[in-house]
Amino acid sequence: MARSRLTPTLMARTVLAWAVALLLFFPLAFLFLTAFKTELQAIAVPPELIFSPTLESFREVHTRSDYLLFAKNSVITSVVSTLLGLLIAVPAAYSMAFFRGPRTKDILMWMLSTKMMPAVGALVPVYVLAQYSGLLDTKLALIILFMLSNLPIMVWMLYSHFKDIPPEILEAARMDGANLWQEFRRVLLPLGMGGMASTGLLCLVLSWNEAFWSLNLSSAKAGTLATLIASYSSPEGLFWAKLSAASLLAIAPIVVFGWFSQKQLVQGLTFGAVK
Amino acid sequence: MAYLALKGIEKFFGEHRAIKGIDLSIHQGEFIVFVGPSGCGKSTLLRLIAGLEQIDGGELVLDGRDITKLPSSKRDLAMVFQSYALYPHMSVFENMSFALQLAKVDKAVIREKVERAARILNLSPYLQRTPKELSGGQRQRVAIGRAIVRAPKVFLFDEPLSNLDAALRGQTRVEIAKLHRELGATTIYVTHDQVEAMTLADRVVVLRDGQIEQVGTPLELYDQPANQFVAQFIGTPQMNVVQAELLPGLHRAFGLETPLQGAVGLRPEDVALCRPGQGTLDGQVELIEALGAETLIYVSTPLGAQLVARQHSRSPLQLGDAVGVQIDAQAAHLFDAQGRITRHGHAAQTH
Repeated sequence: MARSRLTPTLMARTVLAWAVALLLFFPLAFLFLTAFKTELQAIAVPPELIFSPTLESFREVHTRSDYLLFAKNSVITSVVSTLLGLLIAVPAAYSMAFFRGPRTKDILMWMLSTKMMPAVGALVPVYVLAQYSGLLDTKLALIILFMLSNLPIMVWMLYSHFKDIPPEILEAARMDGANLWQEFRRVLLPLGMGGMASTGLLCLVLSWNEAFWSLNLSSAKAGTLATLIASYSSPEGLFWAKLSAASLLAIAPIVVFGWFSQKQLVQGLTFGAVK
Repeated sequence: MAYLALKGIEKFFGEHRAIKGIDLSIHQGEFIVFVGPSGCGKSTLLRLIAGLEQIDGGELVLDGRDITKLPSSKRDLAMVFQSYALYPHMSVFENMSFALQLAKVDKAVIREKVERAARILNLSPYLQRTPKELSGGQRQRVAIGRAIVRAPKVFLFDEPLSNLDAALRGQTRVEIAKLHRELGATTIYVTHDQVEAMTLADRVVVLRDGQIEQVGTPLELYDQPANQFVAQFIGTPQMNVVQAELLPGLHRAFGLETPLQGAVGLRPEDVALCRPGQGTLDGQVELIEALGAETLIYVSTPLGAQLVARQHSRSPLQLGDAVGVQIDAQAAHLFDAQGRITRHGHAAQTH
């Protein structure tokens, strides 16, 4: 087999690919570096690339705020909202994918259209509702809002995953005597696992990084890591190193999680049942 | 008494009346084939029986029990799908035992039943494989195996052979026929392939536009079609149907004084060729299909009638040759303007 030659086009493409990759990676790398700098080093121009790393900022963040509380809130709100969302979205997507009605497409479009409204448009009513029901600064309020705002995407993603499953396989299960639960548990779940996992994972990341609602509806008690980060860009001025350290602490769990579940995200079931 | 009775079954898709009141009685052990052109509703009718579509009108009675509103899972029917629809995440063994597992049958019994079915279908070496490791024909057999381990009341087949290549299709057709003889199970089989219909069926149901055109044994349909549609649908090549005025003089063969009305139907084997001027009418050879065992000769007459003649010997004729056409008037079917039959021809025993 001939080795592919390094043609000018290939070279240009490679350079371009690297450039794009570095561009995307740059903020994260810079964040990582800054987190290990002192505040003075952090604002130095030109930025220092070689320096002796310090854990000063992390120590500062740790003493100034209760990282673990915020982290716990983030974990609880994102995991519970994702699970709750799946609980609602899976049956919805199932019925839309396998029992299509003449209006199914319209309903899907309508659901997506709710994502087109800026969140701030609903802020006042949502805030008032939360206040009246005593849900301000509670994890429950965030869970409900995260879940609701992710639901359209979840239904869409699951719907398109489920549509790839030949409906005859589910019909065969029904003919074999499976009731709805058995059909779900024994056939749809294993076949749709890839889709459900990637949907759940995406929503986990979205909820984890959600800032608008958590900033507006929570503070000391139910605040998530997003609010922790925001608290470091305060009226007293920007503390780049501490902001970076807090951000790094905030994104670290989800980055590690994403790293490990990468395979599940990409992996799909290959179908051998249908020609 | 009917084992499976369809009483005025109706199905609507929106405004469209897809199934228009089907009445049919199926006896225990019978092999019934639904046949018809695409869009005639044969698959829909099967899915209605299976419970995969909701019945909008009429009644479905199986073994004395009204199952019209019962979900598929409780009907005790097994179905073989066109796409096989095997469970891709299960081994062949699991695929075949799934129904029994759901029914909480004893493990040892399951193993015994699956292994017996696997032996019948030559699947024993493949029980631990997954569907994607099997060939098309093997997948097809797993799908059949999945149905037979359950010993259901009725087997439903939805065009099970159309994904197979021609050689395998013929072979599997023979196997299905053999299987039915051995198991004696009531079977409903949907196909658009009339060869499958003719070879497999005890009785064939010809459907068009959501209605039954005719029900009968394969040879009844061939010899005594109820109308022009059935006459032309069954048989390859198609029955010649020619407007009577294009066949002048044919009425004398019937012993009639006045010319015939409507259309005349002739099976290709009832049209013979002879020297020009010696037949009922004259024509010209347009096309010759030499199939080896038989030869099909397409002839057109000066009046514009198109006829196919089937003969079992090779033909020395060439394209464009003038020939005489000898029509076996006794075998001719007559249809009125609406396609209804007005006279059945006598089945040609000698051919």
